[in-house]
Amino acid sequence: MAALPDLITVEQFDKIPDDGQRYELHYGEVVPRGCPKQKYYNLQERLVDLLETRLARSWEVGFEFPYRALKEFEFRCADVAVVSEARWAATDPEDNLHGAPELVIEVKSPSITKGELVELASLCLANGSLQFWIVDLDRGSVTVIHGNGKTSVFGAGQSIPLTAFGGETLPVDEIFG
Amino acid sequence: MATLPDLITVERFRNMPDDGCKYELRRGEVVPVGYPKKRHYRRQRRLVKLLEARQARLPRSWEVGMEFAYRPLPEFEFRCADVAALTEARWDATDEDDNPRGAPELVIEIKSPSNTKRELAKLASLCLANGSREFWVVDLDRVSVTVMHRDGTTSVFRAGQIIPLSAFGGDELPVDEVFG
Repeated sequence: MAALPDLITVEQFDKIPDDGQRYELHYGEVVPRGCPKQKYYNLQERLVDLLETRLARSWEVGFEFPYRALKEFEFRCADVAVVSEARWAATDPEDNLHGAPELVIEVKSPSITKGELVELASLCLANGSLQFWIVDLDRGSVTVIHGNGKTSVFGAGQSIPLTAFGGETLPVDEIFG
Repeated sequence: MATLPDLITVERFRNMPDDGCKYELRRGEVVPVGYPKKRHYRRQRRLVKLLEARQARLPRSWEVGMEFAYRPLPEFEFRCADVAALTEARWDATDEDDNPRGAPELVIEIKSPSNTKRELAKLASLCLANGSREFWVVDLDRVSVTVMHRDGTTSVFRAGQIIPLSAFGGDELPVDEVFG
C-alpha cells in the first residue's frame, strides 16, 4: 500500500483556487462534481418551488445547498435541501451549515451510484437529516429514506407526506408534471 | 436503479442472530469482517501491551483494548477497532449496555488485504471528525506506522524512528518495539 494521502480539511478545501470546476469534499478527499444538465436543473427548481409553497416560513428551502455533514473533512452540496429557519439563522454567514439539512434531496444521475447514495443517506441521517429523498427522473419515482433507516418509494398517483416538516403532502405527479 | 435497501440501524444490527461470523455496520450496511490471522492478532496484542505499559507515564488514564467496539456516528455505524485507546472518563461514562459514542481518541488499524487505502482514509476521516486525536495504520509488510492527525496531515514512521505520544499527554513509542 502506498502511503496514505493527507486528508483535506474544510479550511484547505476553501482555499483551493477556483478553476471553474465544481468540487465537493468527501471524507477528506476532493471530488469533482459536474454541473447539472438542464433536465436535472429544472427538476431542482421545481422541487424548491413546490416545497416553498407547502412548507411554513419556518423552513429555508434551497438548491445547490452547501453543508458540512461532519465537523471536518466533509463539504457537500445538496441538490435540494430544507433547513429549519432557526438553524439557518444560527449559521455563521462566513461558514456553512454544520450537520446535514433536515431534508436532503438528491436527483439520481449517472454520476452517482446506488452505493454512494446509500452512503450519503446514512451520513446525512446520522447527522441531522430527518429524511433523505432520491428523485429518479427516469422512473418517475421518489425514494424516501427515514431517520429509522426505512425506505418508502412513491410513484405516479401517490403523495409524499410532509408531516416531518409540518406540511401536508406533495403529490409525485406535481414533481414530474 | 433498483430499489434502495433499508439502512440498518444499530439496534437492528445488534438484534441480528449470531451466525458465528463477525460483522460491522458501515453506513447502514452490514459488512462481514474476517477474523485476524495470527501475525495480525499478535501485533494487536503487542500494541495493547506497549500502550498499557506507557499508562503510568501519561497524565490521564486510558482504557486500551483490542477488537474495540465503538459508534463513530449516532446511527448507522458500528465499528470495531483493531486497537483503540479511550480516556478512562469516556469509558466510565459509557452505558454498560451500549458502546462508546464517537470514535476513540486513538484508533489503530492494521493493514490487511480487506482494507483498501480508500476505505482506510474514509474511516480515518470519520474517526478524526468524531473524537479521534490520531488514527494509525500499521503496515506489517512495510514495517511502518502511518499516523494521521486531526488536521488531516499524515506522518509515516519506520524502523529506527519513534512515534510521539504527545497527543495523549506525552511519552513516545519506538517503531522497533511495535514490530519487535
